[in-house]
Amino acid sequence: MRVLSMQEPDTTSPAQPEEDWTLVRRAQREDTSAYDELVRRYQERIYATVYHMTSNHEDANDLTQDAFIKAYRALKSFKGDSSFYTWVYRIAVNNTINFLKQRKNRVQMSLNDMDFNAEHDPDLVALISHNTPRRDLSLAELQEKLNAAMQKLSEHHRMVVVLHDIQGMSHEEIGAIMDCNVGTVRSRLFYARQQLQAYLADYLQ
Amino acid sequence: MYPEPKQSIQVERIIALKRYEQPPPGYFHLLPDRIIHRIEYGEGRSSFWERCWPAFRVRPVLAYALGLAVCGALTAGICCSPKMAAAAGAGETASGNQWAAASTDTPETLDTPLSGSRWLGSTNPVTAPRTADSLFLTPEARPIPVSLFEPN
Repeated sequence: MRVLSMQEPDTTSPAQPEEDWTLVRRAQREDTSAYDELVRRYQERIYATVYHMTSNHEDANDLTQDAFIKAYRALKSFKGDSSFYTWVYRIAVNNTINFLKQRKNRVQMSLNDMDFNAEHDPDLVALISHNTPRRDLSLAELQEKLNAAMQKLSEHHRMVVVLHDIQGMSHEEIGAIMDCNVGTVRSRLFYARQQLQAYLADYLQ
Repeated sequence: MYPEPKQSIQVERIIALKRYEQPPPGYFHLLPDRIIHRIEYGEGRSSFWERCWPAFRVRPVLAYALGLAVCGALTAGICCSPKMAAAAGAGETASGNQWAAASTDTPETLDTPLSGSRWLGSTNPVTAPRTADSLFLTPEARPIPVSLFEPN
């Protein structure tokens, strides 16, 4: 089974600008088959970002659909100043942050199952076996603790961690998506990691 | 600028665990169809304001013109309203509208007695209707002097 595309280097956005732009032009003329292709191209990354922000599959499903529908409705105003990928990402990120602010602290986790390959990841095997003080910790427990720790971060700090450490984006890309400079991205990432380190101290060496 | 100690690297490794979290099988095959279905069944249409907004953003002249028109209409409304009110008041008095005249009278106090014929014809809500004049008041609305009171 294929692991969510966050592990892949982020090469899709600059690699196919012409193709994306052609699809966007067709979608602007209300060609839904072209928009369907754009959705298929970016759905996994958008869903993954929203899911890691909410730790809830149902919320991620709703928010992903809403983001793509909002993007379609605003497509006529899209002039191509940035790539379609960055633009739709920005819509999804803002949509998710607004949702989380409204939800506030009512966190209800609905976690997706772990991929089979996780059990063979050497880093994770090391973490859950003899290296941690909590030797009896299972992978599922670690997943739950990690998600709970992530939910304690503020929306902006969590978003930077999701985009950088999970999605593998560069600081510049995150800055473009979150509409802030690279220095802010770096400081948020540093602070968020420190916070996570404190929350997960029991599971670190 | 930001050193990466051993624990920070471990945090990154733990975070990487989230990459293995997967939605239910087949989820990504269905998602585009759901989105396109919602778009085709009406949710893809933008509202009136969503259609207007890009025009205002691209052509600020339109936004300024609309702002000026609204300000002009407001100023004209403020200037015209006293004249209109005066004209309306004069017209109503001249036509002898007794109902309007009654409502613009100074309100009478509750102590003032009303003769039956008067309160029945009044629409003024301030003067509370009385079913009958007080037994202890003379028609001139003065208390009866004690010296004049003679029991039967």
